[in-house]
Amino acid sequence: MSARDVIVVGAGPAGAASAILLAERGWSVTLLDKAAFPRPKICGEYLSPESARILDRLGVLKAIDEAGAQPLRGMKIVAPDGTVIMGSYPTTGPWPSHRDHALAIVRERLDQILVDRARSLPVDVRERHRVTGLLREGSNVKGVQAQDAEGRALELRARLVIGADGRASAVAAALGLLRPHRLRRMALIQHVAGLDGFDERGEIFVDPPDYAILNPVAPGLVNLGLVVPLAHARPFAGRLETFFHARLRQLPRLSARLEGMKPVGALQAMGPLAYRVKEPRAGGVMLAGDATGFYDPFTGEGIFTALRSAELLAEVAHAAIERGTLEASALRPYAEARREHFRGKARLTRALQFVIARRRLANAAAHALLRRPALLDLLMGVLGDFVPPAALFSKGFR
Amino acid sequence: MERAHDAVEMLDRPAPFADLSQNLDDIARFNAFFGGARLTMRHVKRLVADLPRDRRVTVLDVGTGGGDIPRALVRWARRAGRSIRIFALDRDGETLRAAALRMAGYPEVTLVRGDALALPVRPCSVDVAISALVLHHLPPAEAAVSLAEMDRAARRGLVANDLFRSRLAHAVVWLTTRLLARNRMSRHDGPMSVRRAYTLGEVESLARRADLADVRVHRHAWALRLCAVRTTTQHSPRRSSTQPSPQGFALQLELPRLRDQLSPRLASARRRPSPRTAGSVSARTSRP
Ligand SMILES: Cc1cc2nc3c(=O)[nH]c(=O)nc-3n(C[C@H](O)[C@H](O)[C@H](O)COP(=O)(O)OP(=O)(O)OC[C@H]3O[C@@H](n4cnc5c(N)ncnc54)[C@H](O)[C@@H]3O)c2cc1C
Repeated sequence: MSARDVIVVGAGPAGAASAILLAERGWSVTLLDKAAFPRPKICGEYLSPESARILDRLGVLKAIDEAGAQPLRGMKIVAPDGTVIMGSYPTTGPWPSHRDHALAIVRERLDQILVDRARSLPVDVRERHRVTGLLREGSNVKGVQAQDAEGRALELRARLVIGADGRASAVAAALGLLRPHRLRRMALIQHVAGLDGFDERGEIFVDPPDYAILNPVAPGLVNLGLVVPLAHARPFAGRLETFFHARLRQLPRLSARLEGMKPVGALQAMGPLAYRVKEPRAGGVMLAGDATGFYDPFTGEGIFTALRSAELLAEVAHAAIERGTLEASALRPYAEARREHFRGKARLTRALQFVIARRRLANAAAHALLRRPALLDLLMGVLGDFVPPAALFSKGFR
Repeated sequence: MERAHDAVEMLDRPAPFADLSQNLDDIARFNAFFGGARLTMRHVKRLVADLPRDRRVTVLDVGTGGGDIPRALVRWARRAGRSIRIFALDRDGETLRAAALRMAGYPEVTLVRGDALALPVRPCSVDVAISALVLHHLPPAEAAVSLAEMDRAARRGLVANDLFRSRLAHAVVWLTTRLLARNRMSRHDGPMSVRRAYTLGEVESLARRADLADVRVHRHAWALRLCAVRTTTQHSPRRSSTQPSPQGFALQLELPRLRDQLSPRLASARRRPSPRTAGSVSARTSRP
């Protein structure tokens, strides 16, 4: 049996980034994914400006730009009453953004580039390997049980197992950590052609209880995402396409904007979107990305969070492997770092969620942001992940 | 989240009149946005639903601030074709002065100066006693007293509406005050008041402390509010043995009328009113 240091389960952004960062530090890494890349992933396909910093560090930013990623210099937000706000990503205060724009890119391409980068390092990348359970010794995880492409069961051992296997994470499930969330919404995502006039901006239509996002992901191709209460979609379970198009017509500002649109490819749907995952108590295992929980795609930080959590994870994992102690206590600094880095933003997104679910409040917020451009810039900076949320929280700002 | 019991809101301290006034407007707007006022109204309507329709409804609003809830209640009564009389009480003279400026066209509302801990009224002198955003200003012992006082004043029930403490409430109030509040006092006090607010369980124990075991605490997550409601029925006899006042529905004041108190000299004298003394004079509000 090989003396493998790390098994990473899932080769999406969180898993690929973890594998890259640990392999770069000299550890032997096996990266498993049940799918073969490129594989589809339901997503709004928006990357915040600060994501570019991490993608650069991972050595893939150039490839992403060359693959046709579309720069977005900001967001256009349309309030329920039609008020339009133009947000950009300027440098605000002492927090420079890595780039003055966000990116939109088709997920198949982004994820493929990340996996290719992992493959260019000494990483043992194995596609079509589905993890089915964990190997344990006492309170520590010692490896995984998996099924290869031919359906053969195999056991792989490692000092550290990283669960980066997304929503419905097999690793989190084996540890009994998955929990439902009270917020029950569904997303419907459709690529469309025939729309233009984007002017390097994504567009968000807030129309409680729904919202929709238009994201120009490639020349002539737009990612159209619609989020609705799960209960509204459920009666249409077998006919989501019908529901989707009827719903689009019901949103007055959006339907006007969608004049002339032509669907490209299949409609993708997912719900409920939100769920929680508790912190692992076992040693020898860490979680990253969507495997740590998901709230809502409104503020588009899923990929950034996946990449950033891989960065934080790599720090702690590296130190722990080097010291040779992978007990739960040695891995705890990771949970603390995640809490410290993500808590402020998580609160902001929950608060925003509250605002956009209420028509009057959403309108009032839009009017307020129009009146206060400095506050809008700051908010865009926080949403772009380059301004710390504490800057908004601080008392001094007016 | 721990309750920030020793925190101070700017509203608790003397503030320039313009600031105070703007802050009261902000509070009224937030009440409207989040439906805080509507919640109180909903409970009040229920409590007076089986009163004869030609009978005047009387309400005491404890800690009225800018008086937005009394005004909303008056508008409801007018729409519903009911007669209403509201006594809006606050302990702060400046606040009452600001409220008075907003009461033009609302003769149904009488402003009264007094303390939530020692309501200047006889037992059972109004149908319903309400308070909104008051509990969190008071430490537990006093908050319990204020509930007991409201219960003493009201024949049909009480409704104490307040924020509840939670991380989400804090984030939402913080964000919305940042976005929407016009004034720095609101931006400071909004999030602070969530940190000082009680949780559902804490309000339940306040009610027990006030000897009001049958208070029901409703959680209105949608509005970030809780409402502690006591419905007085034959089956829940009043603790107080006093019978409804024979004078009918007029409020029995034990303090001089407000108009006399709005003189600048008195208004600037900020004090914590002392508990009622046995010998205080009883005066009737006799405005029609
Ligand atoms: C509707 C919607 C819209 C979104 N829009 C955006 C957006 O615009 N911007 C943004 O940044 N984020 C968005 N997100 C969030 C974003 O998609 C995720 O946060 C991100 O993909 C998380 O990356 P990950 O690597 O953790 O998981 P994933 O990308 O899901 O990768 C997990 C990988 O694990 C593999 N896997 C799963 N189970 C197993 C198993 N048992 N064995 C082996 N492999 C396994 C899967 O095949 C997959 O490749 C959106 C999410 C949704 C649902």
